[in-house]
Parts: sequence; structure tokens; C-alpha cells
Amino acid sequence: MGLISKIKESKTRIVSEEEKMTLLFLFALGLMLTSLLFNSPAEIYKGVGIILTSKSNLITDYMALANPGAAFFNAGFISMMSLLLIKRSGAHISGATLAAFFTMTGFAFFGKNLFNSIPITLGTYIYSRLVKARFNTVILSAFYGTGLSPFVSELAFAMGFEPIQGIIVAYISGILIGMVFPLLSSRFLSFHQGYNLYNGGFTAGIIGMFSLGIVRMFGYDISSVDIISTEYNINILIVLIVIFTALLLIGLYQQSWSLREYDKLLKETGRLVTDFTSLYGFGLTLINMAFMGFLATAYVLVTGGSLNGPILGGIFTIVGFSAFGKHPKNTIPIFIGVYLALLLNIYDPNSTSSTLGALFGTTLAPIAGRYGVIPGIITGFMHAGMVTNITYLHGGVNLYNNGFSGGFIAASLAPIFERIEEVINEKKRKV
Amino acid sequence: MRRREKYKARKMIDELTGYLLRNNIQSLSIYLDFDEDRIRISLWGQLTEKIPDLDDVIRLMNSKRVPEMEEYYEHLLGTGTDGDDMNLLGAMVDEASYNLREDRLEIKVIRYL
Repeated sequence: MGLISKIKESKTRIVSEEEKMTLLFLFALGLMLTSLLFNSPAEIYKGVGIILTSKSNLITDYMALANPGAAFFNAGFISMMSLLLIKRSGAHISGATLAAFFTMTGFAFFGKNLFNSIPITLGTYIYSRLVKARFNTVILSAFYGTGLSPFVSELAFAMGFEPIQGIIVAYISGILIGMVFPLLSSRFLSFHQGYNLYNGGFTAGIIGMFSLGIVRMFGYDISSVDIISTEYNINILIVLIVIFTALLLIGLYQQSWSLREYDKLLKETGRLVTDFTSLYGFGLTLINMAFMGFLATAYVLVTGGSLNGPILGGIFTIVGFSAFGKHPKNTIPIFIGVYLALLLNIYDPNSTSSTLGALFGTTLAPIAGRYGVIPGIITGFMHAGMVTNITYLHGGVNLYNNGFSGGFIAASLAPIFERIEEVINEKKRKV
Repeated sequence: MRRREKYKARKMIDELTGYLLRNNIQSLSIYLDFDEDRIRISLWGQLTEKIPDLDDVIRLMNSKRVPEMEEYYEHLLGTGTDGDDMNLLGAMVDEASYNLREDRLEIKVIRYL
């Protein structure tokens, strides 16, 4: 495949870091202001208090737990804090940081908040100081590590400790998680060879599994929950349409109102590391993010799912990773595979957890991108089985459950597909 | 940190070697110079066929360094079978150039420390 067609020439505007930061700032601010369309400031204030002191493990929809205004405010605030960290650390707005940024945004609708994210991020910062590295070199770990933030909330509020004692135990644990996350996350890449885009999810799953083992060993337990809203479909849909339309228009403007090179982008496998911003420029990347946002939303609506906090998390994560590997061609086979499994298996295909399996199942898009449509469908099908079977291991304290599952699926299937491809190619050569 | 840089140099060589082997290079020599302030890598050998995306790859390696990407994803370097990791290599090196005389290709890469 013509893997590299780096083009930032004539018709594509060069976008400065400041312009990119401004766009993300407006996005975060927009989410915070959107909260006022749903609830009054007093309700939002009260709701944020509920969110900050909740257990937050999978699946806690902040819209159902508190109210939609508080959920949007929390997502906007976490996005703003993430942007501040990116800016202060000196990191670039690359495909990798966009993916991490939108993952932070998405999961702030159902699990991440300032209280439970701080210690993990602080732990990663301490790690960077200990190894004398600049914080921008570990900022992705600082973001992805917060996938374990429910563990912090669980220790603080649900283990029966005195309040101060609980917070101290929770924060020490969170800091330790943040310190080991950078070490493990880069090592675990070798396991799935970059075919699982949510590598942070696989790492968080392993750490969560160990953490739960220790907690359970002392007679405590943490189990997943099901707090989900279903009544805000229309309002959320309007918000999403506005966001994705804005992304599309800005992208088209940057791209001089053309889809030039999009056909080449669609040929990328999407395997880590495929940074669309460096390969195709910021404009085309925004266009792909908008297309993928519309596609993910359409999947939810067509399959009868509800738009709520967790689903928003899934959609925004897809949008973020559409700067870093995902595009319609490598994503649709995964959707088909997961949906086929949902039609045949015992689970309700319209439930939020089933829809999440499809949305986050696109962590395996590189397999479809690399080996084709049929392997992609098989991968999606297998993922649907795996992801429903592993939540117990971490009790829902790892928000990136699909990334955890995806690591095992990618590590198992990619070598098989590779060998099959080699055999087929060998036979073709002989013919 | 110096040990980490040696590891990165090894991974960079892995990636470049893989790239040239995928493009059917016949013979291959490698030169590594580990200076105080930079790592210089040269690879040269005999080509058996033209490398279609060589200009693009070199241009990609001359794009700006992306520290946040290299620390998180560096272990992937040299593990791919289809060349996608050249994008990651581009995030780790500062300068790259090549010299092609008939069928003898030399690629030079510099990473400042």
C-alpha cells in the first residue's frame, strides 16, 4: 500500500498550534455552555457534586446519576483541564493527542471527573520527574491512565473507610497507578502489535485486574453497575449534529472545500501509529473526524440504541481516534461483525452495553484495515463475545473495557489472519 | 537516559532495516555513530528494484519530532510487516536524506539528543 502520502502543499492550509488549541478550547467551552440548555446553574452545581462523590464504575451514566447539564459541564471541564495540560506540557496537537483528548471528553460523561482523575495524572507527573523526562513525553499515559479513575472513587467512597482515610487511600492508590502506567502501556503494545488502538484500555485492564485481585483478597468487592438514561435522544442528537457539522465545515475550509487525498486516507490500515494529522494535514483529519462522528451516531440510531452519557463517550472516542487510525472503511466491518453477534446472541442488541460493544469495538479497526472486510467482520463478532466476558476481572473499575478485550482479540486474531494471507499469496504466486 | 537512547537507536535501525528488506534490498550495511549530542545512522546497500515511496518516507522523517508519541509507542518500531511504523519513525528523528547512485542506495538519519 502507498502508505505515506504526506501532503501539506498548495491547496491545504497549514494550521498553527495556536489555531488547533483555540478550536479545542472552543469545543470544551461549548460543552460547558451546552450544559445550560439542559439544566439551571443550581441544578448543574448540585449535579456536579453528585458526580464528584460517586463510585463512577462501569456503567455509570452521569446523565442518569445526576443530570444531563452536570454531565455536559463535567465533560467540558475535563476537556478544558486536558487542554491546559497539553499546553503547559508543551505537547503538540497531533493525531495521538487528539485521540487522547477526545477520549478524556467522552469518558467524562460516564466515569471520569476531576476528583478521580487528579491522582492518576499526578502519579504520571511524579514518574516523569523521577526518570527526569519531560511531562509531554508521558502525557498520553497521564490521560489514558485515568481509565482507572473509578478505582479511585470506589476506594474513597465505597469501601467503608472514614471520609479522610478513604480519600488518602484512594489518592495513594491512584498515584501509584499513574506511576506504573507509562511503564506498562508502552510494553503492552508488543502484545497486540498495534492492532488494538485502545492500548491504554488494555493496560488499564491489566492493572485493574491486579488491583481488584488485591481488593478481593482482603474481603472487599467491587462490581459493575447499570445506571443509564434513555430520555435525552433528541437534544443530544442536535448537539452532536452541531459539533460534527462544525468540524466538517472547519475541515473543508482548511482543505479549500475539497476532499482531496481522502481516497488515500481510506486506504490506510489504521494500525498504530497512523497519525492522519501528519500524513494528510489537519483539515482532512477534521473532515474524517466529522464523517466518523456522523457514522457512529447513525449506527446508534439505526440499531435502535439510545443517546446517553456512555454512548456519547463511545462516539467522542471514535471521533478522537479518527485522527489516529479510524476511518469508515476499517470501522464499518467491525460494526457489522458486532451487530451480527448481537442479533444471534442472548443479549439485547439495543441495550446501551451492546451498543457500546460496537462503538468501542472499533478499537480493532486496524485488523479490518489490514486484512480486509471479512476478517474485520469476524473480529467484530469475536469482540462481542469477549467484551461481555471480561468485566468481572476488573469489576468495572477500568472504563476502557473494550480496549482490554481488544488487546486479547488483536493478539489472537492478527497472527492467524497474517498466516492465512501469506498462504493465499503464496498460492497466488504459484498459479 | 543514555541507555534509553541506545534502545531507541536500536529500534530505529530495526525499522529502517525492515523497510529496506521489505523493498528487496540485496545487501545491507549499517553504520551507527552515538555522539554526545546526536545519533547518526547510515544504511546502504544494493537495490534490486526502485523503491516507490522513498521520497515520501524521507519527507516524513524530516517532519517535526513528536515526543509524546515516541515515548508511548516506541516499542512498536520494527515490529510491523507492512511499513506503517515509518510514521512513528518520523516522529522520532530530526533529519533524513538519501543518496541514490545507479542501484546503490544510502539513507542517513539523525536524531538530536
